[in-house]
Amino acid sequence: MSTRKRSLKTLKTRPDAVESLVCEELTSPRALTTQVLDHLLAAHEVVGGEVVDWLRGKLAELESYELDLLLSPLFTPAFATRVRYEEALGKGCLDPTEVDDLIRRLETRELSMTLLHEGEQIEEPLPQVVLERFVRLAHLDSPLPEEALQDSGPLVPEVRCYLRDRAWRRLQSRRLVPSLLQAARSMGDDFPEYMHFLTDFLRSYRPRSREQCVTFLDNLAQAYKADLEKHRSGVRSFFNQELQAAYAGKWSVDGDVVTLHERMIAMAEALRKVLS
Amino acid sequence: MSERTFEEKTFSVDDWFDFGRADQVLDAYNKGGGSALEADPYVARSLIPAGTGKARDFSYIAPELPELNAEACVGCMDCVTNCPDTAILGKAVPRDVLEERLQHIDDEDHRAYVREQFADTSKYLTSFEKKRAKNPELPEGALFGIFIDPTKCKGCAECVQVCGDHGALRMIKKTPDNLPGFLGAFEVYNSLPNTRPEHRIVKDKRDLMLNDDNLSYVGGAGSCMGCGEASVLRQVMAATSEVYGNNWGIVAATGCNTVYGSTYPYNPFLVPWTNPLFENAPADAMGIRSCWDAMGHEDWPLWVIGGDGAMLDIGFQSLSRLLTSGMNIKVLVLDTQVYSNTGGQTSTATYIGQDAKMSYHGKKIPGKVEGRKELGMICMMHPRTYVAQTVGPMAKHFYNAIERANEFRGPAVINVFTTCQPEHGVADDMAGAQALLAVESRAFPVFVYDPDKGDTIKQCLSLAGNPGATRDWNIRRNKDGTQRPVTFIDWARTEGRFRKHFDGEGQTTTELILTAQEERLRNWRRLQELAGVENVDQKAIAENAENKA
Repeated sequence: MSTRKRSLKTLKTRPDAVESLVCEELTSPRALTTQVLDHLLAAHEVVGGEVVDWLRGKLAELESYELDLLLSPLFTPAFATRVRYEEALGKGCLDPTEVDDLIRRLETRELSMTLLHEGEQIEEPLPQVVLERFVRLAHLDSPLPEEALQDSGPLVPEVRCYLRDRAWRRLQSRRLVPSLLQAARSMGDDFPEYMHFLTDFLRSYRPRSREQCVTFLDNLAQAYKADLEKHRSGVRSFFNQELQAAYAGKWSVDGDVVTLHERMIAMAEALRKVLS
Repeated sequence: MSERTFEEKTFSVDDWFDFGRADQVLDAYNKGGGSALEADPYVARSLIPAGTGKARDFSYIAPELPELNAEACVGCMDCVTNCPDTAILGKAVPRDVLEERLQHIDDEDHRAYVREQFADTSKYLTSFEKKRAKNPELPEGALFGIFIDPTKCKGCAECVQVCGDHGALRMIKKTPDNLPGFLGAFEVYNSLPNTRPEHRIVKDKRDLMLNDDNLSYVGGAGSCMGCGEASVLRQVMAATSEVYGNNWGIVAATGCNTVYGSTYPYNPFLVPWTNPLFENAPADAMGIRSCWDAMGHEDWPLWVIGGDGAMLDIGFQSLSRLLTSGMNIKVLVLDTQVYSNTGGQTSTATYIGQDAKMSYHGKKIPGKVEGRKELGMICMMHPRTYVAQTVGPMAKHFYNAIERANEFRGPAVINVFTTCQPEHGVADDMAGAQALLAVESRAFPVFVYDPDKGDTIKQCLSLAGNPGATRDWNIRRNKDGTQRPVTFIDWARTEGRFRKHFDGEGQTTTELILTAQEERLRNWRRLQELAGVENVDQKAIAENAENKA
């Protein structure tokens, strides 16, 4: 690690603030979702009015993996949650040992979780397995690619959060960081949205060079176009909620209203143009 | 008849089938030249070799594929269980076995990609490690991987739907640039050893599909995207193969399942399977049972599979005869409440108010007006017959029913609600969610009737698994403390087959949908009465009336 990086890290990252934010998130009340209720039904045959009493009486009897299966949908850090941690992380990150320490400290605090269901409040000890998974998925020890730190422009919390995705840390991706960052930044106010697009693009298509980026972006735009044309022709080849939203969902860009698919095509083509 | 001898052989899929011939057949069909083909020795004998569906390539269908974010995966196996196409599979692999296999991948980036498909889960890794720390003789943990077979995936996204807030799966656009990665990773999956028995969590029935030997429905069937029937078939086959290997058989009544399950030259089944006429599958099964018993195969389960038409309508008499015979035959009813295969005609399982062919929603009659036939209850009234009414996503309830049916020495009927996307008018990724809501809304209550549990219906019938089993409707409480019942109408509102009964705001516009709701409530109360479950809502009404009097 370079001296510059280390100094940045020690200057910017505030582990105490991170701990406070994580603790606040883990102990905030959360309502049982349909997914959790479905799991209770499918795996434990717990139904309707039995749920609250069962959670109060039986959670302690479950094995750790069963707690993980049951509660993880409630305790998976959302992107918005991870963005909040960026304020405490700055451009640095925690060391893996610091993350282990954080987990240990939180364990010793014997935190409680508060589950809400049908107007009832269920307070139970926060299972260790839930705490550990949450902290690991918060990416607190995921460094920003060094190439991104050398970028002179500002990196707002949302952009930093995307850059912590391991898709950006792959060897091939790191070589692309400067040009991709520059391309996304050239989109002005849409910079974070383009970073989201590029994070998904790197993860799913794994380009190894700038040339491949251009080709792969073109292929992606063509794939979206083919689907749109098929959809507009009235062929119902597939239909799931996500795709329906992509076709019917409206996206407002500079006053123009477009579908998500149209937006994806526009973004892929804009990036291809800049990178060509 | 001349005397024949049978030579016992063990076949693999490759032995059973001439793939060159398959290419020739498909090419001819695609070009419209099928009639010029040479006579086929398999067709001549009405045979399709077992498991050939594995060779079918659907990669031209799905515009999107599911992508795994392994760090968020907990190994719940819901995606694997609910996939109708055997297109997403899981494997638990000890770390050293995986690392050894990865060394054989030359491309560094692809090696990293394959490695990224494995998760450190508490279910398969850390819980094992913690136990092992206390007792070194216990088995080591394993990494858990999820793999997508792009030649089988049709892009329904049911796996993403059930993964939900775990956030471990999302659909991504398929392009020429990411398809090779999927294919390469699936090759690695195929080359890895079967998940060890110690890594299959016995009490989590969803782990049945972690055992490769239980994947006796190999996919490659022509079912629609997200088909609820196919998921249920896979589950039945996994649970039965777990105990009996391939020593069991299927008699499949003509219907959707035989069309998508036997499109020459593709056969998704690895167990003996036969397709009789629409109306006589139970009779056919009785013959096979007699034959197997005479051959000393009394312990081999025999399943009869059929839909509404085969079991409730034209084949109802044959089913009733089977159940009365007391023969050891299991019946799986894929209850789609419509004739799915022939284009959505009304069956006697169709709900009141449902818009189906022959009961079209029109100006004078807004959908079907007859009540629904309750096959489960009718089957209960046959001599010593085990009956379960269940849905696939209620994994514990479902698998317990299948296991008990297989153990039961006598006839057993498993009636399963299965979503038919085109006829129900629901999204391709909603088979599981709609089935669960059908249970909660009393559209399709679950129950188990085990005649060996006692002498009375009350002793034998269990309504366990139904939310709010002592109420008319299950009551959900809102965040603000107010309550709302989950009614049949709440469920009907979510399915296209009832859409003409609602306005744009979701308000009911016909009397018939209210009648349908009353009919469902009567059915539910009848079940409560038979099971000896006191309905607290009815009791309160009766007490109020008594007090007023």
